[in-house]
Amino acid sequence: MALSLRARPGDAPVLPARPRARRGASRGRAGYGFVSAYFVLLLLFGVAPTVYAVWLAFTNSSGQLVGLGNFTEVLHDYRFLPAFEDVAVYLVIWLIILVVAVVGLALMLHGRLRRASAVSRFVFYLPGALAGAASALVWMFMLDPSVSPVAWLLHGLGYSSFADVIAPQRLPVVFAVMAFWTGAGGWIVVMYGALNNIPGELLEAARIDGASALQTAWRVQIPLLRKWIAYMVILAFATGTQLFVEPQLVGEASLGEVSDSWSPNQLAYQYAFHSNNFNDASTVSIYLLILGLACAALVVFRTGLFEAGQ
Amino acid sequence: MQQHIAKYHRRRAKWASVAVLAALAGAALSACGSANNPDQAATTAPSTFHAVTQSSGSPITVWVDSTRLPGVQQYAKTHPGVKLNIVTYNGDADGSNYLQTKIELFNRAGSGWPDVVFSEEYNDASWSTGSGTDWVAPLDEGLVPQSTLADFAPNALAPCTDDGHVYCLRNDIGQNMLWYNATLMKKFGYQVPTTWEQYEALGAQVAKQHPGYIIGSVGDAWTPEVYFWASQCPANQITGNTVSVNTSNQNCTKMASLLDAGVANKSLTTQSAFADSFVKQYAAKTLMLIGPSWYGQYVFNAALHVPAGEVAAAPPLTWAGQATPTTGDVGGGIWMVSKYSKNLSAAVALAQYMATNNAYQLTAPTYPAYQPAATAWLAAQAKQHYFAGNVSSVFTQAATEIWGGWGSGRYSQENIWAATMVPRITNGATISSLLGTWQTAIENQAQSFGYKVG
Repeated sequence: MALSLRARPGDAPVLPARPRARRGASRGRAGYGFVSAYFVLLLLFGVAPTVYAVWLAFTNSSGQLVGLGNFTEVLHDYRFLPAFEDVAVYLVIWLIILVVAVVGLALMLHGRLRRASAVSRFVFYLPGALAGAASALVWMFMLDPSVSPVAWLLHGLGYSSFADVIAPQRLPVVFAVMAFWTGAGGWIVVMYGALNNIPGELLEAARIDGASALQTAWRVQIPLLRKWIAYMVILAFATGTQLFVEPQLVGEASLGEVSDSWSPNQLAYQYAFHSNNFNDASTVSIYLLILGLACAALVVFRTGLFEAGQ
Repeated sequence: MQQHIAKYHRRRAKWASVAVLAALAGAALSACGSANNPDQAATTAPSTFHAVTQSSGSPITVWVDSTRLPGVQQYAKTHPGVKLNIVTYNGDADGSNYLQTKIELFNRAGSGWPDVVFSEEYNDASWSTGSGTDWVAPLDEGLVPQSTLADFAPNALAPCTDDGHVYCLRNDIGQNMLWYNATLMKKFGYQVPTTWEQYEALGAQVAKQHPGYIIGSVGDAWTPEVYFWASQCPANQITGNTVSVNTSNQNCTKMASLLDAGVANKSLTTQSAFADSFVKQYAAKTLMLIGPSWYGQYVFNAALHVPAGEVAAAPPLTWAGQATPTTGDVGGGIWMVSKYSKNLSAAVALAQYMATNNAYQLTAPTYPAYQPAATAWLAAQAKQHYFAGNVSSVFTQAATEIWGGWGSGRYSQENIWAATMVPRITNGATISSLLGTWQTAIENQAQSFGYKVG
């Protein structure tokens, strides 16, 4: 790519280099000071639990090392593959909706809807401000034909009861819709910001060359958004594989019609808190970690996400 | 995961983490232990119980749901000498697993257990005595008098019993019976059935003469307990650590055919009696419902708003020629006491008061498991004049007819039915065709909880 996303229009002119020797050392120390608070919390609540989970995954309840024993044990659990299948289907649906709709809406906000853009961005963002559990509750209300304000639509689709709506084959779509509604708004705002970073003269040049809005979007804006989209996909994939709140709440609200191990994270929860098996619970989380790492590696290497200075 | 993602920001850090993982895996591969986590395998409960050092007069913490809360508050008022710390929680209802989550964490932390817990799920007793969990005190070893334990309804303490010891006091039982709308039955000129065969025939008749009216529901998690338990279907036989399941037994298949016929002619609905859509569609069209003792007040009165004087109860149905009548049981809460309690006498006194004392049980909305309280409770109910006629004899009879062959395991039959069967039945599959699926689901679930399937 010829253009660097790091060059922002209106960047301050380059200042003459400061005398490093004099102030470098103290600036470095101040930096550590700022980072340390976060670093301590990260160690305590991020790194330490992860290391503990890795330890648990390779040991049994008596603390003996068991090699990959937990991994094969979990793999052979009858709930393991279905849980991953459920989440795979959900992820495919969700990621496609997310990428297409977020990029599409951000482009529209940036182009045609510019006048109403600030209000729209706020409105899009609003559902995201609602906590996950609360939004799942809102959706359970929306999806129950006997109380939903859009009951006519649900009846039109042939669903007469909540049990119909949450039939197993429709669950991935239901969860994808819930996740999109809460998660997409924030990403639309991020994409909008990224679009603002594209130099105006580029778009102008495209216009002068006779490119339509669609062509500009397809050939100029989207290629320049590539890294942002990759970033979104990595994070969305990671949060998506960890789906928990939605199936758990819908399961409880339907008196158990959604399996209590629908998603891998729920399976881990079942292991830990129902079977008193924290080792297998950690093993599931390590599987998820490996999946997340693999997806991130793939996306990072394919899109050159962190390649600086092109 | 956020913290892991942060790692991607620096390639080096990422590769370093991969190296750490690889090193750990290497170390682990050369390991010696067995992956089988002994926690999962159940063993028999200890026969002798050693309490922790007691400190009389120390405060006790009680976890209770909102329904039982007024009773505990009343106890606090009438027993000012007892220092009570009351915590309200959801009663572990509807598969929330709240109690399990907390207890497992307390077990790991080695402290924090409440002294007394009320749970709406009687399966929690079997779960609590599982070897890795094992946090409740046996109440029959000098804590609650044998004479008191003997006065609970037959089989009411079965879910509390493990390896010959009693680990909880049953608060209430949900013995199933035939609920019906006496006014509608009279209007339509129908006889109240006494056998399953008559029930099925009446269903066919209702479907023809009064389409839209229903005589039962197979749409919720309680279907196995309402119908298959009553029919003595051996789907949940638990002996020690072995679960045996045989859903192809005739007792299961004949009940499945009966239900399928009802679903086919629409005299049985596949909607749950607890769904809003059920209330909308069937509030005025529920001719009968087979269900627990609490259906009268909770479903007919509170949810369907059937006026007083219309709802009546009949004894549990039997198959033609069945020698001893049997019925199932839906729900019924339990009181458990922590074996780590520093004030066992105060903790047990509270649990025993709540489960057996008339002062509380007479105000309870559910049928007491403790028989002397149940008698007084029925007399108090009769004064409310909600039911058409006196339901006392039906309640008492049904309470003694709960079939003892349906076990109480660490897993929940309700959860299995809800997740495996309900969506398929809603989708139009017949129950008969799903009996194999049900069997596999029960066996899988039992094995995942450390049971042997035999």
